Amino acid sequence: MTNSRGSAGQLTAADARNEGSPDLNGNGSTADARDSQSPPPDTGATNGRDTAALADTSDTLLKRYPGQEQETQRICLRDSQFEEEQVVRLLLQELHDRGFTDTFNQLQRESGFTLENEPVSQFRNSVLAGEWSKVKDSLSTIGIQTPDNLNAALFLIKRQQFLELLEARQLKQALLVLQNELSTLTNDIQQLHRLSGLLMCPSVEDLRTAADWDGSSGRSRFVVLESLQTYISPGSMVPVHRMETLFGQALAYQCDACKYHVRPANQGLYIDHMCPTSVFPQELQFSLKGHQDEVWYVAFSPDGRYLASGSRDKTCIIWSMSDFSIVHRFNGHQNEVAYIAWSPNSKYIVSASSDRTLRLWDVEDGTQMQVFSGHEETVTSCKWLGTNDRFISGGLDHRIIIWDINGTIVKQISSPRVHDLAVSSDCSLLLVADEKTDIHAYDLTTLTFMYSLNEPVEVMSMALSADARYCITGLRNGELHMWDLDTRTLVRDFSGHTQGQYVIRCTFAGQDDRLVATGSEDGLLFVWNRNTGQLLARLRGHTKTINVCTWSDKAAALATSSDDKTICIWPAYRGAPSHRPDSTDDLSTSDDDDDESHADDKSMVSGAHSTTSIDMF
Amino acid sequence: MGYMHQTFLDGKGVFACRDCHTHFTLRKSIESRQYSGQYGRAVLLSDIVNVRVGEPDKRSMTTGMHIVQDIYCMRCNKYVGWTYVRAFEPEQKFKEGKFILERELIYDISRECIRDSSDWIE
Repeated sequence: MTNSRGSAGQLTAADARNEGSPDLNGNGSTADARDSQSPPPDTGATNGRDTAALADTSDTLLKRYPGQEQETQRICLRDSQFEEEQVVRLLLQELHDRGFTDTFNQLQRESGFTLENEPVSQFRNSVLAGEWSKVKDSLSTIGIQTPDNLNAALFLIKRQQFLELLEARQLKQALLVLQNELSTLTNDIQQLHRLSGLLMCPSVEDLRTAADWDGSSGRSRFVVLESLQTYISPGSMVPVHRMETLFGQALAYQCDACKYHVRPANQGLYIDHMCPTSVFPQELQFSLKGHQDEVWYVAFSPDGRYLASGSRDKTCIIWSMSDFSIVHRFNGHQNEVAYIAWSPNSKYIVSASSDRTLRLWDVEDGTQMQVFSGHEETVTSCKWLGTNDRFISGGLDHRIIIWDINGTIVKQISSPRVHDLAVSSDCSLLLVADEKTDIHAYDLTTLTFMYSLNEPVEVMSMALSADARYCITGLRNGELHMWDLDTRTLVRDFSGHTQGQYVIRCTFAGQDDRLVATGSEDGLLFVWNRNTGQLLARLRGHTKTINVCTWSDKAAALATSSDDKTICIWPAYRGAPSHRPDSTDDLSTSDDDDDESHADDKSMVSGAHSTTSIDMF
Repeated sequence: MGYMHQTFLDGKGVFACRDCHTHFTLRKSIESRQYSGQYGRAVLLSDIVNVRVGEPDKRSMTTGMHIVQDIYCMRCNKYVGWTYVRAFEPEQKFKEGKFILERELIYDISRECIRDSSDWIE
């Protein structure tokens, strides 16, 4: 349906208020070609309205609407690039779903469009009522495009009928459906075998579990309707929640376009989401001192209340994120600590060391709970497996070990020498960076090898995004690569930092992993936008190489640790963290709460000084 | 000086730290055996792994004045030798960028018995 209103020109509310505008005649809007609608009004009526319209403001024009049943006098205030039929039918769907039946009917009357024509409505109702013969008959009327689709749709319907007959224990009729109808509709023999196997189910509960089906009184009929949607042209039956889907897409687009995306998109639908520059981490809030040697790992607890750090001085320290004091110092390792992993409940940490052991520490008590011996060389990496009682570790001894927290080995796998491990959040994917130049992906549930990603030089560090879609690798030649794991291709390259033979860890940061951050040998922290690859900031706060950087959504901050024995915290000002003074727009107030330099070396906390600087882009 | 992954060498004649068995070099990297260090005989190497360097130091050696950096085992932090940063005599320039390991402090891991210096004879 073409928009013939174009001839009348662009109608806007402002124009409507302009008394001299000739476009107020409104005859443009009524000249639309609508299916079976009343013909355009004769000029007499519009002429009469000309003078009246010219004298009116838009408010009184609108006041004419409510009571008017005659579509011919509807005045559309503006042009739109989208077809009126589609927009109105989406509105109808929303009104219907939200229960505004009066308005729904009124809108149908006033616009002349219906959400679904009669056959489709009947089809929908008969599916939901389970009247299968009616359903079969009406299938041809609802606009299915091809015979293949017709068969597929019929198969779905017959399958539902079959299952319902089984549920009602009418086995003979179910068998008839299977033999006479289902078998002719598909070539998928396995499917047919599975369905015939269901005939053997002794009870209805067994049937439900075996078929993954929740019964005729459950949601299964809705599910069938939704699957049928794929075969029916969207014009006949509007896809469910279509307007909500479109809103979601718009929001996703705004988030993609947001340069400094560190805040969730919660501004609603009236304004576009855009994180302002001020919320991006750009000020060094605190510099945590307490280690006696280079700090080689730092990690936030999942609840954002603590930060754990591991160092070359053989200890781990737990820092509180509310007052930045040292909560615990864990002594016990015989050699440097290079990796720490927090349990999902934020109660334990596991630390891995070159003394070939891992140790489990209780963060609440401050005690060492368990020592895990089993690796014959340095343990390089460890990650928890989704629960609070199992974790996986990899070492340079060609071993990957799955441990139980009581100290026993659950499984031991031989592998290439492990430099780094990553586990997806649903624990189905395991990535292993080996000592050479490859990253191997394993299915963690079956421990089978899936594929490898090849880099040109040695992989120094690796990080996996939360949705397990992207993986970034830091290489020995100073490049930072991003791989898309769905297509297994290299999609982006980030540059600007320096990296050589020392391990400098990279991480995803920001809201929904939209940023990529890594340290550098020149002591700067680099942050890029993941989608555009644009360098967003270079943050200076360390005097030596930055080894690790990490981000926490809950703590809303970046943390970096360095060879200069300190850890720097860079908060994103979201207004949420409780320790932040409430003046989110005044960056200088952080000096207030940190003149607490202790005489001993327990913890020295200092605020933003002139030694820090940032370059923002 | 940052975290480094320990490297493992494959090949004939891997020389490693006597205390912690960390690999340092392969036999084929040895360029000369006619050197001496604080503990006795030492070898000159072109390549080395798993060591950290210390601060540059100006030292007078039998062959002249040099700037050297002591090297330490990555795992146990023990002194194992040094590397030449700069040689002041023109004839000694070839040593720049090369490494010295003291034979007392390393051993050939393919041979079990490590005390006798006659092990060095192939």
